[in-house]
Amino acid sequence: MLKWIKPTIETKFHIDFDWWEKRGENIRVYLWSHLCSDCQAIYGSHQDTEEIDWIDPETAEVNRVDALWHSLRTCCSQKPDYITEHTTIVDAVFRVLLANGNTPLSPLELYRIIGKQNPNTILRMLTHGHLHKGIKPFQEK
Amino acid sequence: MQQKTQTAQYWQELTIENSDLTFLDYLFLEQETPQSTDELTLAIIQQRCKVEETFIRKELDRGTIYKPQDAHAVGDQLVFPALDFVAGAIVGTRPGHNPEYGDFTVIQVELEPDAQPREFASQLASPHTLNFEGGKEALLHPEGFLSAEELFELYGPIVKPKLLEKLNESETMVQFDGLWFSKAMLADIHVGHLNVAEAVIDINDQPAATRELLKELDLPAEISPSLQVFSLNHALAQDERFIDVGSTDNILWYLARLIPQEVMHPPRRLNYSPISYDRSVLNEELFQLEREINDEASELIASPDADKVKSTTIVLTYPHRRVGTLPLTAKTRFFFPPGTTQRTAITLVDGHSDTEMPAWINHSHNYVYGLEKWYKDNKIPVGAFIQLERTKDPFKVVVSFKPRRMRREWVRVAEANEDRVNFSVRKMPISCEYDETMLVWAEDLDEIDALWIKAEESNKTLREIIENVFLELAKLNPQGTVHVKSIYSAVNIVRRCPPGPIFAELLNHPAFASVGDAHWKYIE
Repeated sequence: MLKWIKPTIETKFHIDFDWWEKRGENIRVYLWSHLCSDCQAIYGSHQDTEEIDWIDPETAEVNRVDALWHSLRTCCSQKPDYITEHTTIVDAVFRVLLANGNTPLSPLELYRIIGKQNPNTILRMLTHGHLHKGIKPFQEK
Repeated sequence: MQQKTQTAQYWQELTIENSDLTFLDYLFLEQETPQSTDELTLAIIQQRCKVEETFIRKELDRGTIYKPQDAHAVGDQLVFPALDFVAGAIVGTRPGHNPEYGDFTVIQVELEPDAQPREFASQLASPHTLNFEGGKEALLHPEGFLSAEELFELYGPIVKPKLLEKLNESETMVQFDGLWFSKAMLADIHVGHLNVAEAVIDINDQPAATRELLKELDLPAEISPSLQVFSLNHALAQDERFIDVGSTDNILWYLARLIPQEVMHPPRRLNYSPISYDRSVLNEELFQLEREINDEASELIASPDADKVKSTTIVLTYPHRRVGTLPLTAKTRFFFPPGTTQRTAITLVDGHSDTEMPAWINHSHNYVYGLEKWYKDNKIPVGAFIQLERTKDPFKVVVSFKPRRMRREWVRVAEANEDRVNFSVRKMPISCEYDETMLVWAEDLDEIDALWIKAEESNKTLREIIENVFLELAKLNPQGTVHVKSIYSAVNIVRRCPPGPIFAELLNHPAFASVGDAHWKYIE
């Protein structure tokens, strides 16, 4: 059994997909909702998006990628309205993790990316009360 | 898809290889003409571009140029411009799936034997950078393609130093006067030829141009004239008997043994051992005074019209008065023929008597030698105004002082006293105009020389020397103040030093205080 350690601003957080599964929710629906309007127009829904042929703009080489993750990383997250001043802290953290391919990040690192509030506030938001959008401390299994 | 030679990165990361020198060897063999570093830089850039183009043409011959818009079939041989022109055969196809691009095909291509095939788009309707119009030529020379000459303009300054470094390291290339050639292809100039050249100069007792000397050497006629000139110049430059006494673009050979030692080797009195100091402490007044003094070691920038001014006046300093020289400064340099390592032979003309005096320029040490007798005969003191005037002949410069009726004037006289210099005021005969602040007199030059050597050998600091001369000069004035130009002039009796370090020392020393109008006082 993993030992519980009180999270600090240097504790890494990630999105726990098991949390979504246990709640019977499909994270891909949620991912699709975070796409920009252009990508939402291309992919009408979350269905049939697990494996598409992505064409390299320089070489035209084809690679098979997950359409939703790939679009979030290479298109939607690059747009200025991906995270705005009106985006809530929890949404902003969620979007940063999506754009990062769910690479675990600490509140300190998240603060440096988001530039809002401060690391301690981000830590408090992520650890107080119930689990937000499956974001929880990352523990290597 | 851009050719590598079209990018800044290629030239920034370029290493000049031995193969480049081999190419230059062929170039020299073909042209039989020495070339400048700029010409060789352009040749290297042209060659690198040519090599890349030849490689690409060869690669393109291995198959059809891959364009995502085209339809392809299994078995087709394709060349991929965006992947360093690698070629491969199509081994399979499948329908593509991506709503963003619409319908397209994916082709599987075997680029390397035994490696997993890689997939590429085919029959792609949406725009892609590889869907260019035209064939090979359009690919090789697309819009905006830069010629080798245009690349030289852009990246020549990056390539040139790299090439120069390689050429300097190379034992197969030789250089003379900024031109390079292959050592193996030089005309054979043996010691007999050099002895003849020495005899020709000796008999004529005057500098000789390379072509004049060649007339006496009978080199094989099949060697091109330019190569004969270069080979002889190179051989003469390697032989210590000969020295170039010409100027830039005008090489003249003379015998080193016929040139005064003071021209070959700078006199110790002119030798300045650079002193590091903080120039940022200097104020505008001191910068102005530094420009007025115009010391050759100050590294001042010449005014834009310096090469057009017909005459100029400088103030004679002790080191130059002592060894019979004139400084080559930002103000005076343009009155003399340009040069670098030569010892240029010139004529100075006495502005009053029209007497011609042989003189020599040591360009690398910034002085003109040949005025010792003239200074002595005309009793020209340190601090005198010396005027230079151009003539139509760039190798002839008029030198004069501003004469006036001889009068006995109160003058600061320097005398050696053990390891210090003492100053007193005495009446001395002066028959020329002078700068009051720079005027100093030294009667016993041998004693002053001995003091100078002592100060140098005992590693006396500049601060100690300034303190010594300052206190000595201050006692000659009832107010106890000293002009900074007087300090500069007096310091240079004991130690060769431009104004900058002296001024910085005055500003940094708490005992010295400026009292305005370029005068300073010593505070106990």
